[in-house]
Amino acid sequence: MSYTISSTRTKRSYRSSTNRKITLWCWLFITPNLIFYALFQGWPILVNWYYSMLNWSGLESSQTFVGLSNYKELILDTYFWNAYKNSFIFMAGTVPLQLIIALFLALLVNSPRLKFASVYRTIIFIPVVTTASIIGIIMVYIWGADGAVNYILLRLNILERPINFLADPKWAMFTAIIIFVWKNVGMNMIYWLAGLQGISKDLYEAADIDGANKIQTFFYITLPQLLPIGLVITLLNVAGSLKVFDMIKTMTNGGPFFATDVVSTYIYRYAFSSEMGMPRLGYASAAAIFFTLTIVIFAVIQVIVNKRTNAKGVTKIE
Amino acid sequence: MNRKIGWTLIHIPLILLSFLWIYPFLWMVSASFKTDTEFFSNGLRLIPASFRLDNIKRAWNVANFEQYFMNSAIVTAAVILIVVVITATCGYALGRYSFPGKKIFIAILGASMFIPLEFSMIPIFKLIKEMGLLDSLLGLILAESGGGHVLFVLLFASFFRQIPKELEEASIIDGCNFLQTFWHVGLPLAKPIIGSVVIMQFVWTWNSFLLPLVLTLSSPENRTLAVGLYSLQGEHVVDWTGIAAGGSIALVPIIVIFILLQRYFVDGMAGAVKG
Amino acid sequence: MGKHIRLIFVLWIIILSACNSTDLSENASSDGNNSTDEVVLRIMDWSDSVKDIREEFHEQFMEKYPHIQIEYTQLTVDQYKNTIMTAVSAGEAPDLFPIPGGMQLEALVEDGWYQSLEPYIDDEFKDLFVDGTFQNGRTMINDEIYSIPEAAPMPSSLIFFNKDLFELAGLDPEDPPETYSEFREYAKKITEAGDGKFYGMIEGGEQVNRWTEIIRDWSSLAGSGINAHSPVNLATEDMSYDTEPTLHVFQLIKDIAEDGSFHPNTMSISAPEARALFGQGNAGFIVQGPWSIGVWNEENPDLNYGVMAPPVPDSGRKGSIPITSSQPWIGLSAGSKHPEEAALYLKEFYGGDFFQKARTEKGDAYSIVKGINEEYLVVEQTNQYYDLVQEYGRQIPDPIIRKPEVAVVFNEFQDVSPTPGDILGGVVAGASEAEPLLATYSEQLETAWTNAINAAQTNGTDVSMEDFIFPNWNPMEDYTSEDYE
Repeated sequence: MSYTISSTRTKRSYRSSTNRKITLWCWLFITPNLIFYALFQGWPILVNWYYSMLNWSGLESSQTFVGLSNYKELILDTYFWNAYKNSFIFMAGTVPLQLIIALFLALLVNSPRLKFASVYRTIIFIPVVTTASIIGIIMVYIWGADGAVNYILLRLNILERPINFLADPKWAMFTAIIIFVWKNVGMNMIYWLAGLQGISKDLYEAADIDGANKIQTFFYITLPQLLPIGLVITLLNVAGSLKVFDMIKTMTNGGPFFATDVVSTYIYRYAFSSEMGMPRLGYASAAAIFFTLTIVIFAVIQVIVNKRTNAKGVTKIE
Repeated sequence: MNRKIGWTLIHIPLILLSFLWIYPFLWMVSASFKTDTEFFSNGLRLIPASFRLDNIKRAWNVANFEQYFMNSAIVTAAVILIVVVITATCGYALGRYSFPGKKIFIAILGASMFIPLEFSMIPIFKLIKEMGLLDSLLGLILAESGGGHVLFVLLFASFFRQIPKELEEASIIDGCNFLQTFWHVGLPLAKPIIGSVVIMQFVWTWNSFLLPLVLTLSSPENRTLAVGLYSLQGEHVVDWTGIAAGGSIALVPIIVIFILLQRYFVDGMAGAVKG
Repeated sequence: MGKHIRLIFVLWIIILSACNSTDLSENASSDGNNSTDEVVLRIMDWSDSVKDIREEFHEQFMEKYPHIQIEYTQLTVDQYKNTIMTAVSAGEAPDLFPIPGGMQLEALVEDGWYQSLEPYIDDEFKDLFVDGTFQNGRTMINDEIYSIPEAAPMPSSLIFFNKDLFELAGLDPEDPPETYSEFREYAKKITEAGDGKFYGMIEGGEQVNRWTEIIRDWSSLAGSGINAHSPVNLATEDMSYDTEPTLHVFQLIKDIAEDGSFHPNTMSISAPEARALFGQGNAGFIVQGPWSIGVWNEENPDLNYGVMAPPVPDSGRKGSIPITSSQPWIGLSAGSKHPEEAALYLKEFYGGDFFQKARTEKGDAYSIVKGINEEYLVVEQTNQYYDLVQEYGRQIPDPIIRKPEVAVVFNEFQDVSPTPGDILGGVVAGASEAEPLLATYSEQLETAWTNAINAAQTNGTDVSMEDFIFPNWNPMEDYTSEDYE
């Protein structure tokens, strides 16, 4: 007996009543999360969607409905597109590195042969919890012209002159990516570790009996088994890197001259950092909504293309 | 034999890399003993000139440690419990069953995860106020538990998908209903995911700053540690050593929790899946 | 099963205790209200450089008035803006809080943020302050006081220099550079003498506002007419930000950057970090405000430093550092339930025996209370700073004082980005060319400002571009109250 639709039950009436019951249970199970979502995320999104059509400085008395004019202004602002582009560069730079390094570390510390694995796990995890403002300060020194990184590179004759990595328009983004990866790899490692636990030991035993070597086992068993959770971790990293704020704010504040300005710092600037003139909450909301909307459109196109080219359908949640 | 030596030798590069890896963290801990002058003049050195406890004492007092620590602990514990329960159930339903409305639900949740709205406090603040929970820890707990938790839900869902049907069927034959099956079969298997969700949510809630700040504007007695520590950071004057000291002591619980929860990520349920 | 039940049990205990604890605290505070009439006065601001003095002041205050409990929250400027907008919009404003930067008092009063202080203050209180403190449009609306400045307006664009490093570079510490060429030369010599240990100049280059101060004040000293009162250039009477004096300052900073005279970390640090590094003897020059003095004297007692005016073009000074009118700061929340106690707080804050004196003695800022600066300015550098501002700074006209209605234009104004401050930072990082960007900025500003004026006119306000132009302004003279007539 099974709950799924593919059940082999013959009596239709019984089946549909079971299905109805299951549907009910399913909705009961997702309702709590739905409520928390609706109240604290769905509702604010709707409100911000409304804000995005206002010319609004944050004062109750100064709201004027302006339709899509914030969006129009946004699309015409080259600095918005610069921030937009940077967000994606940042995402493209951080996500693969994080995934691969974290998987490698997870496999390493998961190995029963490695002694003190729990110590290493803790060490890898520690950057995740280190305070962002402190990381901002110390990274400026480590990556600064007289810092440790330059010292090593100069010693190795890789560089001729020191570079202040976080302040150099050519290097700032690269450096920010490296630091972000360092800070987040520990979290990714934990997700991978969780994924590794889901793989049945039987599979490894079978592979062992078949005489597969380490590399074969990894590519034919571990990797395919990790694929579903791997997709979730990828999604998680994509979302996290596209929304990056704290690290950029403390390390470069979007500089030098917008070289590391991402959509979050762009929004923050318009919402709270204007020097002359009022904050522009409506415009800031429009930037957030527009940014998300375009990502969703990308995602939808991606799904459609995937479905057309790949009839089998890659592993999905559905 | 060769292999054994290999696995021992591997520690040499690992120890070196580990040191580089946590160097900023060690620096932060050592900065909590330095004077403000030493903080900058002795740049990258790890050993402080002397182990003064002034910074730690100051951070302790400024951040109102005893009281705010308790608030942080209560809020974090409650938020974690709420989040684990709602995401595990949600992920279970999504991962194991098809039901009408599921795709729309996933689509809406998934679409919202990209929106950078962390600064938009006004709607949440007003909502909590409408609920009459403004100056209470409960309001803070609910707000901190809010959101779609898409990532956690998907983590659970993708995990539950992998569980062999036979386990479930066995439990149904035993006479368990939907809830009981989830409780006895699904949840115990999901320990690795629960562990990572707990850790991640712990880090987020423990360090969360903006929401607790705004929601406790008129009730400082309900503030959390992160808000308390923020008062060391000023516009013109920044108490770096104080921040380092506060940061270091605030991290202790997270690291302890991590060490305690570790076994969930590694001991694994792989054996249990066999049934 | 038992384990799970325990889990749920714990959850409930926690939630219950959370509810309980709030109930208890509510009960406690209401009980307190009934028996002793205890009042909780909530204050929020960002004035952190005097935090220790402020806290001592609060302790003294609460000792003197045991029925008043002060709850003071201090944030950074950005954070404050976000927090206060959220709080006010939900009707949860603190009793006393300052006007966020970039916002106009008039708009906030109209929006119901603040209430008039007049019913709670007397002439004796008003008489505490130096002339010019209360001006319609800035601190007063319709002749009623709504807000009180924190301190006297003071530019933060003077230069501090390290005398010891001057000597190491073979320069005379008693004869700091005066012109652009000299300044560049000095910075270069200090850098050379430092040989990687110290540099000519350091700034908190990550903070755009630091570059804004430099470009605005230094170029004004060369006659640019840029000012903080409005985007309208006082000299050209339009939106020109790419005139010769401005470009000249850009060139100077660019030259210094290309000489390698900036501390290499300049572009990746904030102002407090730059201040700390200067205090450590890592740079010859730093552009900073007077509040730095108190910090250095406390943190770096061995630092041997002086203050100097910003450099002028080689052809000489052609203008002055713009001194703004008194800027509004703290005000009384319109929804405050304890206006009397708040007024009492203000009375002690400005008129009491402790705070203004202690703050001035620390050398943090210049008081707006009569007689305080004369008596309590004891720190050498603070005095020098003050004297230099008297010599190089001049009061500039304020369109809002001449005609408070023009505040509406500021409410409609949508700031243009990148600002000259962004551009200057970009020049130092070698990431941008000043001239084309400044030309674009001037154009876009022109459009934004014209739109703001048009919008204000549409709203029925009688304003025009003329309201921001001051034909009788002389950059070498103070613009006094008679000049507004």
